[in-house]
Amino acid sequence: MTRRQTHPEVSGLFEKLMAAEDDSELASCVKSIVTTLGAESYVFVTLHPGDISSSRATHRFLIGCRPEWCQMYNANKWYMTDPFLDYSRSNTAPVTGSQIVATTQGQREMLAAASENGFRSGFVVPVHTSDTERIGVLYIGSDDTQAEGERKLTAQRLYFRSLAMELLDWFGREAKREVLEAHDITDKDLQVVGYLKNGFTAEDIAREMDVSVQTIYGNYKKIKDKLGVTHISEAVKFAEVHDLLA
Amino acid sequence: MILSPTSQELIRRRLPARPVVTAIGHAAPTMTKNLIFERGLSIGGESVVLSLFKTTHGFSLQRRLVERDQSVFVQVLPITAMDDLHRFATADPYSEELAPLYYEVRRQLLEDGTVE
Repeated sequence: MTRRQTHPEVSGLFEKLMAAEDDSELASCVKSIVTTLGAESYVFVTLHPGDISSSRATHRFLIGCRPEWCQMYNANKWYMTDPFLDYSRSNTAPVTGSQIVATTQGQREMLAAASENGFRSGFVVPVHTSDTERIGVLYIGSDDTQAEGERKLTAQRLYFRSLAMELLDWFGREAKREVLEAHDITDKDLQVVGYLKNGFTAEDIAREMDVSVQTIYGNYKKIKDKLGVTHISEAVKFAEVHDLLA
Repeated sequence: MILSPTSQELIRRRLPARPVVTAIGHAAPTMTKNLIFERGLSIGGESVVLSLFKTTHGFSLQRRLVERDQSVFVQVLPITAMDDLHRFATADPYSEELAPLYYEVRRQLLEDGTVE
């Protein structure tokens, strides 16, 4: 049984992946996991479908396949018509390539190109965050025939699903870290914003933090200056949008 | 966090849940990712930025495309061999315009000498 043979090695790779310090190490772990499980290619996409702003990526691709494929996908704007992305927006069950039927000529062209670029057979795993604002999609590809490849990949469904969830978590932590660093947001800032989110007044927060109310108003000012907002309620909204309090 | 009895009562009256605060130090492992090259171009209303990062475990190239509607597409290419970069650059729809930038990325990698 393939799963029994690969389990110990894959478990070790998962542990490394969860502790990966940067995307190079992460990518190396993912590649090892994917190849150990019998596939050759992968792409992991994170989406923030509701967030159109130049400060945050709406689509982020971690490339573990032929580089040409990812460029072709973006150049043709296939993310607008990709049937697997459409499926992933409202589903969490993994699907094989043959389970999704292309309904337009553009989709058929995309799938034909994918087949020629390491995804002759494929397995796609959608994963969502609890607030459904952030979505991850793990594309796994093999050069095996569709029937043979899908059979092999489906047998590893449990691992691929775990991999997709760990990747979404990893990128979530990374995105949060980037925002905190970019705005020099401290633990104390988050603590204050966390209290505000839950309806505490400045007096309540001062009591909890054992400081004066004036100190809390001073904290408000520092937080507003860091984020470039005029009212502290905007800082709470900022924290919510960027999942800083999750 | 230990709340005073007064505050606990206040929370019971006012709130459904305690505040959730995340400590920065526990949010993620310490990252060792250094930006060593970054250049961008505006092309036909879009902007493309190439950023080369050196990490403890190798290099990664980030290609950031901002479209006219402000949608942002980021591709992260782990570079383990020069051929990865060559193939990515050649397949870039803006390969001609971005050629000087890809050349500079390649030069940085060659200078480092750890990628073959």
